[in-house]
Amino acid sequence: MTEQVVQARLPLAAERHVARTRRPSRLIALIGQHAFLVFFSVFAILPGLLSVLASFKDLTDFYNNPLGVPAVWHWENYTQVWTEAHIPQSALNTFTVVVVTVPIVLACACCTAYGITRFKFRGSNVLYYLFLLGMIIPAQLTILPQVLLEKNLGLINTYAGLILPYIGIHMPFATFILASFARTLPGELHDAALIDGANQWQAFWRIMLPLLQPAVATVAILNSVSIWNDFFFPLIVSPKLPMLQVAVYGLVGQYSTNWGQIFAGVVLSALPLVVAYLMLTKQFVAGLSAGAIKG
Amino acid sequence: MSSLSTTVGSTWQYPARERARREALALGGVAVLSFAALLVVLTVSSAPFTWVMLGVYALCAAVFAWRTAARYPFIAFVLPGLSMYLLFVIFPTAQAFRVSLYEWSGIGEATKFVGLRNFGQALSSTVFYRALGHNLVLYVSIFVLQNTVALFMAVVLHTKLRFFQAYRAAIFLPGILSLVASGLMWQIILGSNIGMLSPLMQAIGLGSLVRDWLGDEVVTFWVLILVQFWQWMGLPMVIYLAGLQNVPEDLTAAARIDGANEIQAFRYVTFPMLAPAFTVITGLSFIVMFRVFDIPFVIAGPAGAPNGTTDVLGLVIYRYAFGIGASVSTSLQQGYAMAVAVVMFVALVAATTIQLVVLRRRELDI
Repeated sequence: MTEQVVQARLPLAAERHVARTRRPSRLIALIGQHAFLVFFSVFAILPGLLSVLASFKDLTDFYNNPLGVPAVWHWENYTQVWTEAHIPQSALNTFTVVVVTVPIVLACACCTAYGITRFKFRGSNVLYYLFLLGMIIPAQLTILPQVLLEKNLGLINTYAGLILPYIGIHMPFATFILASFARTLPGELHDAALIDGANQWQAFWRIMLPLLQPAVATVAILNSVSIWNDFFFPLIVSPKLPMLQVAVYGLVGQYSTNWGQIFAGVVLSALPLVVAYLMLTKQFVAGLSAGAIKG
Repeated sequence: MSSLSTTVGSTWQYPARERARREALALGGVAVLSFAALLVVLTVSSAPFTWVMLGVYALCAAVFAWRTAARYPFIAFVLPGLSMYLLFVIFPTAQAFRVSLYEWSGIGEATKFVGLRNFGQALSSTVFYRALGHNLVLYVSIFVLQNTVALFMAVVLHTKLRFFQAYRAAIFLPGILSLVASGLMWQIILGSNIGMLSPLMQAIGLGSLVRDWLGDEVVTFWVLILVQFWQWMGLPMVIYLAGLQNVPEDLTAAARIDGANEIQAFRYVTFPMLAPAFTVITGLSFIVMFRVFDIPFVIAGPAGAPNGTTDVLGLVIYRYAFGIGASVSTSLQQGYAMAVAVVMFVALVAATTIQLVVLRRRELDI
């Protein structure tokens, strides 16, 4: 009896659903949804777009014509900033630090993640939580002792003075993402390799690492972005070896009210990341959320 | 110590195993001792000798890892990363705890031990509680915005409507900008001399509503919240989006067939299924909002201008540790700054642990 009722109701509900999609209220809802998303998309990119516009203005444009496009497009803002303000040199410095640091972080973090997820030893969980703790530690707590440490090691104003602490600082997040990803991988493959006579290193290198690849890409991207964008650490530990964000911040002092040049510098400093982001949006976004959910 | 041993039937090898265990313990002890010696040297001495100690530790650690590779392979895997982490994060953290017990200007050795006085000073100052209050309001506001606006964005995007990729890319974009860039970008909209918003409002006849957006005792704090949300609204959105993809469609369909309307289906079926995403977002934003520093710094400056109405704990610590601006002067109170940072850290660890336990239990209940 009850089964019949359920069967009788099913097509009814489906019909109602079809009818609903054709109704004009559905169209209004769709327009509403798009309007909502367009509003927040514009909200998200408007400051960036206005900065690009501002980077082509000269000072009179800012005061006479604050809202419109520049009367004359001042490309010389860019050439001036490029030649006078150490932007290429500091970008190269930052790039060097990123290129050296990120592979080392990945190597260390992959090994650590493998070590604490594939071996059950006393303290493996303690180690996991110790690394987790690193994600809570506020930078304000550690920055001052880190500066002292750098002084005692003679690392102020050197590449190593940025690279070595960055390795330590980025370990927790990298290990966390890689370990939570490693936990979801099947252990059988790894065990089979060991039974077939591979040693631990071979099992890690040939089995584990290829499987970890998606998480490795996520961590590589996020670490590169955060090092590229870092401002306070280089400001304090390497004032004489200019890093990109410090140089851009310096523009405010150098050009005081020449906002056109300042925004040209801002646009130049953000451009490489934005281009990479637009080409690899999926890796930027999907990797991040997947890592967050699995943790 | 036990390990994942692949040797089968090894009972008769007992003496060899025992010997390996003892060797591992001895070498491990030596490595730990050399690390401790390195830390002591780093606390008291300067350049050349520290590198010698660093080399000694590296050698001890390498021998330890090498000799134990056969029986305890995890040691070799964990040791490099762990060493870097202990040296450059955990050691400075411990140092900060130590410094918080001293009165210290940041020059030379910290010698004047004052016990818990810095903590007493911090916990009885109005500046501390005002900043803490701002952190709390910031967190609650962001929590509300994330679970309304960002959640709704995820739900709408999940219907796979057109331009899905473009919307997602645009909304997430501010998250990859540096704080220097985003701080200057907001100047162009809200700044008092080059800002576009005020001229625009005057042009359309809303001139009476114009405020000094970055220097008003009431408005600036809400601007701060807005900018904070602007920069990171993409993250909760994509996390919720990933969560929504894990909700099986037959479940919501079943609810609809049973007569639930769209809102009820979301409230009683979809949202409970998003519990893991909710846990991650809530925990993450709690940590981020209590150690927030960057955006208040670029929007309102290190003093929490105007008149401390945008002050947060991160800025308080910065002011005592580095003064206004980044120049180091002699009148700094590093011990006090570290005491505030320690309080913040301990509170964060406690609150995060409690939150995670409660929210994980909630996940299970649902």
